Amino acid sequence: MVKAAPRKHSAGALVRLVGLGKAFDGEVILRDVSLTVEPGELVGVIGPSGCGKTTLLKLVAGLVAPTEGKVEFGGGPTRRESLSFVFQDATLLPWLTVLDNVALPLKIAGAPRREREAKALTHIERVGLADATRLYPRQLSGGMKMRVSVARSMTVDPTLLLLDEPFGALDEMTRDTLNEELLRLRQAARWTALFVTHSVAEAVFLASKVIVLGARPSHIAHAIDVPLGYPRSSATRERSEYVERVVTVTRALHSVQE
Amino acid sequence: MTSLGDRGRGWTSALKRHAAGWGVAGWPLLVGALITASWYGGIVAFGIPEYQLPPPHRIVEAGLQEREVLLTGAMQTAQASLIGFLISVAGGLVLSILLASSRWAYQGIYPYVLLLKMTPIIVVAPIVILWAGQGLASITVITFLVCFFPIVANTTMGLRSADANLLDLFSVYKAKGWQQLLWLRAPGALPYFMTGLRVAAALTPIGALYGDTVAGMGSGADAGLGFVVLIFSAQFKVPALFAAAFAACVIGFLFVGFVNVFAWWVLHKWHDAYVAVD
Repeated sequence: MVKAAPRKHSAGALVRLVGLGKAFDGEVILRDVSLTVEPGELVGVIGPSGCGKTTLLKLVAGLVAPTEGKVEFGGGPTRRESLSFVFQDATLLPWLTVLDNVALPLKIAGAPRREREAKALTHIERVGLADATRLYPRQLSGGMKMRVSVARSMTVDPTLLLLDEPFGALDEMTRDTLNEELLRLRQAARWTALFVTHSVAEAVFLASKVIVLGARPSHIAHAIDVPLGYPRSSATRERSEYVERVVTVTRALHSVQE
Repeated sequence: MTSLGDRGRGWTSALKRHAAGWGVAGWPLLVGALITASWYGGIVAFGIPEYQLPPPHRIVEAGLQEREVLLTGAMQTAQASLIGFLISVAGGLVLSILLASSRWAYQGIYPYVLLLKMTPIIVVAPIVILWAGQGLASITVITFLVCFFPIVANTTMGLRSADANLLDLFSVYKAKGWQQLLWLRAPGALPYFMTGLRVAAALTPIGALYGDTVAGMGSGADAGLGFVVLIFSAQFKVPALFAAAFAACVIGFLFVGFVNVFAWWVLHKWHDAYVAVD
């Protein structure tokens, strides 16, 4: 198992976490987390529950201020503005239709109605909900709501996508399907992703690199590359390299929990 | 969750369910008949005199006899109620937004809102009359004092209880304060606001009637229902007194009914509690 060595600072890094630490009311949640995310990478963060995975994402999103270290957005044209967040629950506004929910980030950015609706429609079609544009969230199934949430995150053409256990509340079948769809969307849009999950299978299936966080105060215990390439499909789950990585990550996860 | 089709047309299906609901109107009618029967039965069985409990037909007679006084009184009271109610809604909304705007505003101002609410209207009314004089102005202010609090309390709570993830969502997309208020907090507070509105609607006629009894003008067409009640009471016109109570009841019913329909109209598309109409 590979101990995470401090990576060399490459000029092309999209996001760099430098000695990041966070404490709430004196209790240290995260300690000395250093991580570089290169453009095009999908980095999956996994760890025991309560290890501060969500806090890590919120630090990167700028929703929470770090107590130590910093988050650097560097290299290319990436600024925080081109960042999107997919929450664990769909986090939709119940009083807005699917169309208006998906268009919300553009409305906040001040885009004119016609422009934002046209763009929202494109992304709604891409997640296969073209027939549901005028429906309200309460009329949708859990899987459909998450699709809306994903479509909404795509409307701002994110460079960096942050996903917090995005499909964790769904049944396994729906979850697998949505993961496959997510990777399909990526083939078209080429965003970079940092996601958090508690499912080893999901982490390995989506990620080009899996980060294993140790128990509290969390730090990076292992960084495991997933040399599977993209695109991936449901057939990827049957490849021996996939199964091997699932075993490796599972062992790594067990080692930090002991 | 059900499939799309059967939930898709919430408006028409709600109407159908509503229409089917009229069949249930039989039960209230039956209970009404039972109450009327025991009313008559009680009067006969216990020999209750009319000046204590008049039989229903005498109340109807008195109501018809005094219909002009009752009607103008009811109109007067309804008018005071409506103005007081609208001022409460407007003032309540402004105050709620102020209270929800910052922790400082909430902690600084809310205790005084509570203080105003805790002071019994009976002791405040004479002061109001002292300032605003006899008549509609005082009655309106008294109505406001009686019914503004439920609106403020509920709306403020609604504005302050936006979902943490939704707030994060707005932060991620760099929403400005007014966008967050207008597109997240305000719509999220609507169900709370409607609850406040319902409670306030039930209190409004009470405020107006009480205002009438202390600040009402007794001269003919200006007499509100509360003043009419005072006159009937003094004149010992007991059946007419009952008829006046019934008229007040109708005003309250209309108020609450109107607010309920309004709440349903605003919320039925997205709020689960309003999808099925009661």
